[in-house]
Amino acid sequence: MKLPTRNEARQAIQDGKGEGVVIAILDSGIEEKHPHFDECCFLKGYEVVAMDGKVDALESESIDEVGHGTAVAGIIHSMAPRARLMSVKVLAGGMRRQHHEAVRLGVQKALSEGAIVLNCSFGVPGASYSLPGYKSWTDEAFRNDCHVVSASSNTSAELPEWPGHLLTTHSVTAADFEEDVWEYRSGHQVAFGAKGVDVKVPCPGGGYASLTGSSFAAAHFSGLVARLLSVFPKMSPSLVRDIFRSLAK
Amino acid sequence: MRGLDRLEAVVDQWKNSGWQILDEALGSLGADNVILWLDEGDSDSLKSVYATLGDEFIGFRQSLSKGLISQVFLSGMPLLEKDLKARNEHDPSMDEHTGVRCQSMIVAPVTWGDEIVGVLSGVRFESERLVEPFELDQLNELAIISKKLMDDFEIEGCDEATNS
Repeated sequence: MKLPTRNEARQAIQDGKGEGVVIAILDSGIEEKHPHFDECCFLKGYEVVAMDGKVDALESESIDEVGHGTAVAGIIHSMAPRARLMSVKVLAGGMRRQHHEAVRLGVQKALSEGAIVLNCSFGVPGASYSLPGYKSWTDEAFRNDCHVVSASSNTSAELPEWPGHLLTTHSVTAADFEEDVWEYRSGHQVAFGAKGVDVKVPCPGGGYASLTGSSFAAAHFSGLVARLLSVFPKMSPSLVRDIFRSLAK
Repeated sequence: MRGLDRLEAVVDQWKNSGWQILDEALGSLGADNVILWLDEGDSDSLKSVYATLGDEFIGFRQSLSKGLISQVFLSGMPLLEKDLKARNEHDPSMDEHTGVRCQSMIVAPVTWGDEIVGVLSGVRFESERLVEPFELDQLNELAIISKKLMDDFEIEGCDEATNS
């Protein structure tokens, strides 16, 4: 595998379009018919549902009632327009009592279907009982050179959050930056800051809104990672983290 | 007693002693109203259980299938919307009922123990005068307040309610 020089990496992050990269968006679904996605390549979508006492990730037409996933996907598509997007619906009111299991199954499905970047614009309180589950799938992704990009609200390092505080993920918080700018936060559990302020996002029904939050910062970062991987594929999360650390503003 | 029933018992207890932390948040955030919404359990909705502006904002239900507060509840990530009018899926039912229109909103998840059990929302109302929308700093502050909110509950009092 050819490793990039700093300049090559910088160029890739600036100019890459995401070709060849599959990005799974673990979220509330995506309104794929929104005009924003007219030229977007979507793979089969999935939804984690509970049926007959069992929880499973089933192939599903992508419907986003609440709008969060559509917003996140919209940012990723804008950042890496030639990446292939996969909707994995794990955030739904009906599944909130089985949230951890829903996420785990969604990740398994995404990895088995070839996703290289997993965008996780969500977080749960970092409880000791749920840590093994989150560590298990984030470690699995890490070992298989798949990149988990996680949002974190970063209110306090003393208040843990999964998966954002797991160091095998690229954890991102919101900052008031331009699109192609990010910062590395040395010494912080949440390693990166990316554009998450006044972000124009598609919303269900065909329109747009302007939102602020770490969810959208993570989406921006997923797009940046996809750009890099489209030029230099098969890079490990450790290497990608080092590259983004060294090229940060 | 189910977890959410226990939570409602705690909420009821605190209604009597006041929600000082939220009343103080009003000033520090520069908000016109701060509302605590809790998961109503089987109904798949959030219910407003406390509002700094008073009872007319209490008892509203927001379906988990729509709205900004639902996005925050499901994702666990705080959100800021500066211009609610521009957002077609903002649910205006509370605005219509109270006759007060919200211009800008910040929302953060509320946790109790290891679960996200609701959200805290702060709003600034529309006005004839120029209204500054919320900024990222206020969103971060609300997220900190919401994380500390449930820490102030007196669990001893709740134990009496659950055992009765």
